[in-house]
Amino acid sequence: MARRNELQVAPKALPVPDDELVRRVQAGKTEAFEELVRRYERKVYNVVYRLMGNEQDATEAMQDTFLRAYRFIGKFQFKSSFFTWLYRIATNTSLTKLRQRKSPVVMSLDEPVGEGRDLALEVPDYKYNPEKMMRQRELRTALKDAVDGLPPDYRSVVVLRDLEGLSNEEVSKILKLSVPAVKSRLHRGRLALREVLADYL
Amino acid sequence: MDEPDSDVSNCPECVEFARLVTDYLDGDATIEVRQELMLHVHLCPHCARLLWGLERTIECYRSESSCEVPASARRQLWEALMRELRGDEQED
Repeated sequence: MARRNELQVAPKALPVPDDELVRRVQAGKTEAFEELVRRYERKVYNVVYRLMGNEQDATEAMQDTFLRAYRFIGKFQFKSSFFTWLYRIATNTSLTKLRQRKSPVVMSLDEPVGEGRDLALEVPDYKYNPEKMMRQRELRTALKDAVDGLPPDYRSVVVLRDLEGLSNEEVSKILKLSVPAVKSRLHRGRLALREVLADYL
Repeated sequence: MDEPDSDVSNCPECVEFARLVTDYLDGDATIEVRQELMLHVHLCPHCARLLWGLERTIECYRSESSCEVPASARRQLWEALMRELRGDEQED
């Protein structure tokens, strides 16, 4: 037991700050960029998945985001955090792809939710309640459809603000909008979602 | 989407409620504004329903956990990245 406590108090190396990693990349140390990718791949994937609405497009958008970030990192001037800058690239990449999309993607209700997504489903309370579990599944499908159905300008605000949990100020920097504009789009987006989800609430 | 607030009545208090409800939901409203909104909700069943629906909607999608990057997506990303990074190293 004493041995276990000793292990617990062992000093842990602090992670290298993002800005320092960026400086290393700018100095030609490509492995520092790999560390930035490892640090943010999940966050970026979640944003682009929620914006694009399907795994294939999200995979492409995530790839484009990191490649663009790498190509332009030399021009990064530390005026914002690396994270804000990366989210801006991810959002712009996704919105450009969405606008280029000729017709909306129609998701089959029978289609699996997607590789990896079921792993993230944390519903222990419903483990022994199939009815609630099914309702939760229906709700997730309805939620995804509702978010996918929002116009891109509203969707980007709802995804960043409510699903990714960023502040109004962070969203305003990423989308280059005023805070009142973020709030207004958020309100309209939430109203639209509420309408779609009304039957499940 | 042009008139998403069409289900809000034209009564000035309800219009004001709709204007301030986002701040309230995000915890950005002052105590005075919160009290004012709560008083209105007690008097107006329409806005009470609106608030309840919005709270439940937000609660519902905030409870969605984030997903892992699928293995195939991660593989494609790293393959593309390695090509890009190695390309740079070779140029050096």
